[in-house]
Amino acid sequence: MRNLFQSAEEECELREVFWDSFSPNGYREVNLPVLESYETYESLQTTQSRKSLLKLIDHTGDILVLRPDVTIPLMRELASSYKNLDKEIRCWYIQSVFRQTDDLTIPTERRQAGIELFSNQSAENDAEVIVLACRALTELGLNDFKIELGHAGILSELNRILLLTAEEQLQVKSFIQMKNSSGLADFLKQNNTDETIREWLLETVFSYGDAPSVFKRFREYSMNHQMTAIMQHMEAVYELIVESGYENHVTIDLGMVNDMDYYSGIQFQGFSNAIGKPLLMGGRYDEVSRKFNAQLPAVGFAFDVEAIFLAKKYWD
Amino acid sequence: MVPMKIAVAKGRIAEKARELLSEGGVAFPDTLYDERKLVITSISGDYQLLFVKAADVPTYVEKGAADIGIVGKDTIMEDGKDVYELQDLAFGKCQLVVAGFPDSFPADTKSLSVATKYPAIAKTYFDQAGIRTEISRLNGSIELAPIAGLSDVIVDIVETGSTLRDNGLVVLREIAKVSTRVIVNKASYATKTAEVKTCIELLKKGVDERRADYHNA
Repeated sequence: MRNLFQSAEEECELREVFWDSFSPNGYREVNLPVLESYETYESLQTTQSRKSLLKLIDHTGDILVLRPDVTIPLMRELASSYKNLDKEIRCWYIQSVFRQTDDLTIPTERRQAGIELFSNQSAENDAEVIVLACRALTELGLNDFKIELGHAGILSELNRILLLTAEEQLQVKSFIQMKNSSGLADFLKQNNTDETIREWLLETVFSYGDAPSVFKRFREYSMNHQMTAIMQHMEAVYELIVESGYENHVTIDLGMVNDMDYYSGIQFQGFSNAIGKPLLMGGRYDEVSRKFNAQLPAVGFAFDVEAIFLAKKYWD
Repeated sequence: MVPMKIAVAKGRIAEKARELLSEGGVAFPDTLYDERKLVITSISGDYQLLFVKAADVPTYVEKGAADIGIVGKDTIMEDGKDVYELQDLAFGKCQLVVAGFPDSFPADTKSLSVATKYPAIAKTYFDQAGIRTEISRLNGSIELAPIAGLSDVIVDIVETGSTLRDNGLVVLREIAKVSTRVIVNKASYATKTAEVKTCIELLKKGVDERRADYHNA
């Protein structure tokens, strides 16, 4: 059972840290509606995540949902006033989100706290968000955190090369998500994938570890300019993280797969030694705004507030 | 230092894990495997084995109560937990199958009653095949179900198939090949990458050496 007072105090502390960490960079706090139209999510999400939506019906018979995340409502709101990105927009939030799962240990209402930077893709913009995540975690006193850095383009590139059916794509995604290299190797063999490509794919998607060695290994295996461009971008982002002094907190995971299907560029998640689940997730999602008839590329992250304070308790 | 926590199924796998680690130089205070102990810590304090029920191994690992788990692929498939499946240890090999009387599963089957310890695997398999099912979850003696008229077929693991044969049942379809896997908590992998990799190498090396010994004998 959560302590009511403690939960409020935690939120207060987090608000202070966010204010101190993000305001100097021009970020402003936003509040968003709790209720969203079901249609907003219908077109965006997979069947699995549609099932997790908490729905209600208004007096006209329309289906509404309690927002399952903050990113989409924020995008929808901004897309109604801006069709293009005239200038960069920086916001942060601490808001509740609602999702139902079969796992009874996960509460339906959870708090998320994060930032969104509406900006074109560039190493500077992507690194800014990751560095701010590191800064906030450090300010909160979580000294042992690790940020895994991946890129959504790797899986899309793989799907493009392998010419898989939708069902096969799901299988491959699941192998990569579980880092099941023998499973993927068997699958590629059965799929009669060319041996050079096979070796290259297995080397790439299971590359995990400190940045210099992963980047070096990848250069030896590089064979496709799409992937080379992805790696150059990741390296550039990493260099900027090094300049900010957070390199010891970064691990490269080229096989990172996120259940949030909307990421299109860099993606990352953060962990602490103290607890078994992610503290934060984030990434670049440049295509989402198209669904709202706008061109608003963006990058951001969200902390799982409960997870953050569980980990923090361990360090206090 | 905080030990690397490894959740293993009580019994055969637990004993094997302890042996493999011992051979890799991780000594445990007791030479004999004691059923009643729930946790044992290596003498150096680097490793800790948690003895749990096989079906609970993925839960311990997903929640981070254990960094690593050693468990059969069947349990991983049934549970669908959010963990890494980093290594196939290639022992404890068996098959996950649909079994029943020779005529219980004709090619044009539209619906079946199924008895199994693996309701999630059974549902996924038959849903993909477009067959409607009525699934009964059992906890043991699955082979009895078709004989007693509880179900048309069963979904279960078979090693040699002798229990099936003794009861007049046959393998009707293979669902998947099963073997013992190493699963890893995502946060442990991120924050203790080197230690996790070392532990997996240790287990894998032990298994490979035994296989070599077996082939040479």
